[in-house]
Amino acid sequence: MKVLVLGWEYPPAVAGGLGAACHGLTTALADRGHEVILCTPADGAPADPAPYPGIERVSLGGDASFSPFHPGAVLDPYAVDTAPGSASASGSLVPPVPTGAAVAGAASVEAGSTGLGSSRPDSHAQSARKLYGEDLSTAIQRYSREAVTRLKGRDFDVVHAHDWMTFPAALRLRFARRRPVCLHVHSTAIDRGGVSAPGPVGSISAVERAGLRTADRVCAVSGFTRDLLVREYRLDPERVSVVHNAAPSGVDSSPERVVGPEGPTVLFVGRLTRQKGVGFLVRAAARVLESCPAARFVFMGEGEDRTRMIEMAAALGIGRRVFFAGGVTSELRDRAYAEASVFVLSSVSEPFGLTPLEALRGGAAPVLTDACGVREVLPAAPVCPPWDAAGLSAQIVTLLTDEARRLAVVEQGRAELERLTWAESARHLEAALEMARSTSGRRTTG
Amino acid sequence: MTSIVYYFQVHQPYRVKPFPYDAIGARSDYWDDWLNEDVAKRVAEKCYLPMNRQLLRAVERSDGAFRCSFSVSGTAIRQLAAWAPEALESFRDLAESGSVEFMCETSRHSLAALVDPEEFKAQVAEQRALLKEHLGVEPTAFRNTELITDASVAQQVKDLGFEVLLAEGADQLLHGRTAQALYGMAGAGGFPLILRDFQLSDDIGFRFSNQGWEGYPLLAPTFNGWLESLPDERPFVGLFMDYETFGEHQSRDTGIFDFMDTMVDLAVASDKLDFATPTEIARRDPIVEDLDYPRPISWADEERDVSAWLGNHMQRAAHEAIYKLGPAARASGDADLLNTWRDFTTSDHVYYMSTKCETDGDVHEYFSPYDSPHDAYLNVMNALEDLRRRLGAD
Repeated sequence: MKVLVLGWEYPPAVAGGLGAACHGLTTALADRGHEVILCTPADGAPADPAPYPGIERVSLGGDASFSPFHPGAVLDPYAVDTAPGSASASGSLVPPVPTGAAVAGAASVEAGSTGLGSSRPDSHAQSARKLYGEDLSTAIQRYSREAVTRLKGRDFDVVHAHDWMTFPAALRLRFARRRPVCLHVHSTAIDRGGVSAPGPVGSISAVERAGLRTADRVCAVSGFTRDLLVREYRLDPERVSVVHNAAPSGVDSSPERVVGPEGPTVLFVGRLTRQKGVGFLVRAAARVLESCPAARFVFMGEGEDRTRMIEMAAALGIGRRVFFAGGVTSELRDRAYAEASVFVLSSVSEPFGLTPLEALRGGAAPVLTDACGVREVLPAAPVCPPWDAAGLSAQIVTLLTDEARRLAVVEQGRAELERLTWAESARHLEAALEMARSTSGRRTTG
Repeated sequence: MTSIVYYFQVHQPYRVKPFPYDAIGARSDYWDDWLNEDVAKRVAEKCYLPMNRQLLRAVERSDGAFRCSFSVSGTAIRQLAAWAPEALESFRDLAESGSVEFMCETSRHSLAALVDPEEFKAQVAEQRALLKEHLGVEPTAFRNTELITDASVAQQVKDLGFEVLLAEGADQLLHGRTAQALYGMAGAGGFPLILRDFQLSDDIGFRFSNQGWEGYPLLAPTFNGWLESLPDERPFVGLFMDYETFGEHQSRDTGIFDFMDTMVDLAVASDKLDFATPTEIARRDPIVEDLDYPRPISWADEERDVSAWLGNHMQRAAHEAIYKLGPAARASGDADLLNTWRDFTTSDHVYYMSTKCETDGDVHEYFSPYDSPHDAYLNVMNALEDLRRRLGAD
């Protein structure tokens, strides 16, 4: 197959998240012998992307002479809000906070990751700012327009587009070039803030909805996300393939924990936002400390709920046992994984959730909510419903007090990691792309 | 005749350096000595040295008729001894002039009187030793941190052998009575209290350089006119303020130095005004009435309570975490660890965590080395966790 990949971020400008998934899937497609043309935005791409055999790079949207509201823009039906900065004003798509972690977080919602973990935070932050900054809607329009003009003489069999920023371009190509498109959903506006939010969130949601209902095939990062698309966007479940992310590469650290006088650590890594269920974890922490007073809770990440969470921990009287480490380097984060006994993914809506897999590499036992995609690949991990602080604290206490059980959870999780490779994901993706080709033209909407 | 009772507060905390999460267990240097040295030297240069010189000249010029009082926190004494010894020397000159009273306080400018009587006693003893060593004085008057006072504080001060306590003349305490008289503390055997006249004190301490104030520009004849027009039966007026008012909070070009110089000369020449120190007042004047303290009252913020330090959850959590380490620190037998812990009891650390906004928030922010109260809180909590581990405490 000749696959035209429409990406927004590649190689990852932001650790975890969209860029990593796009990178992993695209290189694995090439490894499987497909010819890949990979399009990425001209702004925000690293200066010297490493070439990869079988992948040809095209950057789109570099023509600065293009102004939004171009009369010829076919994109209009799907256009996001065109008011300056409006896409970033939503507070949920692109937080207007000029830090690497916060901007990065917007991109990596689906991965349950954070935009922590960049080894060179400054350049990543710059890159992320370019990719998801104030001019996002203009950049999307440029990208979409050039997808048609720049690829005029190029042939391809199918379009594979990653997340809503590239959906308008994919649909224009579908219209202009009569090629099937497969849209890949790593996260939705609904995960990030709900469709009920006024303004840009709603219009991003509209882009997603219109695109997904038009596409020839849809890939969802998890069954959780597929169900959400079916429920919220009324997609036919038969049209949605689940393509899980791979586990992050890395060397496994020992799961053994020698708990010193500083007590066992319960770790959270992610943006401090409502979506990540941080408040619910802080309340659970207060309960855990009643039976395990030596435990310590470490929160890595920044976010708009930071001050509220700090105050909540203080108000609950557990300020001495709860630590807010802020945005940290990948080195510090990996060390935290390797020291933590328990890792908690407390999200209330998480399309996938990469961090529990990273935590398993470090030897920490994950506890998940049932509102995340990653639980589908970690069937042995303890699970509780979001907002259930009592249930979550009980799961944490069990792991902190029953070392054999904790080690078993880590061991079973690690066995799953072996199966989670990009090669395996690409196999599922390939099938979805084939289905896009075979259904192309035989359906219209739904 | 009304006596002017000047009391100037001199204090510098040991500010905590950035202490992120990953520093816990990795390093134990808590104090931002670059910043602390910098501030100590700057304030010595801009305020302590020139103002001490000016006050000493006023004492000499007036043949001892000009009198005033100071409290210098132990943390300030130690910083000056290390980084600006000439400033400490100039305080000693004032002490030796015989016209300047140096009062006692807690050595760490702490809130120990509220929560830890044992620690309070220890810090008072420490402060007495510091005053003796560096200034050659044995104090008889007491001021508690930020004038925080209630019956329990007064009783502790009385038990330690002091003669008088300075306090805030808050509305909620006086209910319309004048602050310009000697009161006693109900519930502490009528222990003598000298109150601050916050109106006249703040005219100098806060409003002097405020161009939006109706009294601006305040000139010495005007101010002394206000003092002279006080009713005859008022024995004294307490003008209490941060010493850093002169040259630091209000820079030299506001005219604050000239104002004070002229004000002192006019008062010395006036037949309606003179100067006195707190102990002199306590020994001279009768107590007019006992005051009931419904709660601890301080000189800080609009509320005049302890909410500047213990007003929000973060402050209370940090305060609790600090004092929780007290028994382990005192029992450690390690003088360095005890000294380090004691420097965390300095009230400024929790003051920086205040989340009050509006006018008082500005004041908090002015003094704070942190970007936000939450950063201040996390920083201190991280450092305390490191100290907790070193102490082997729970």
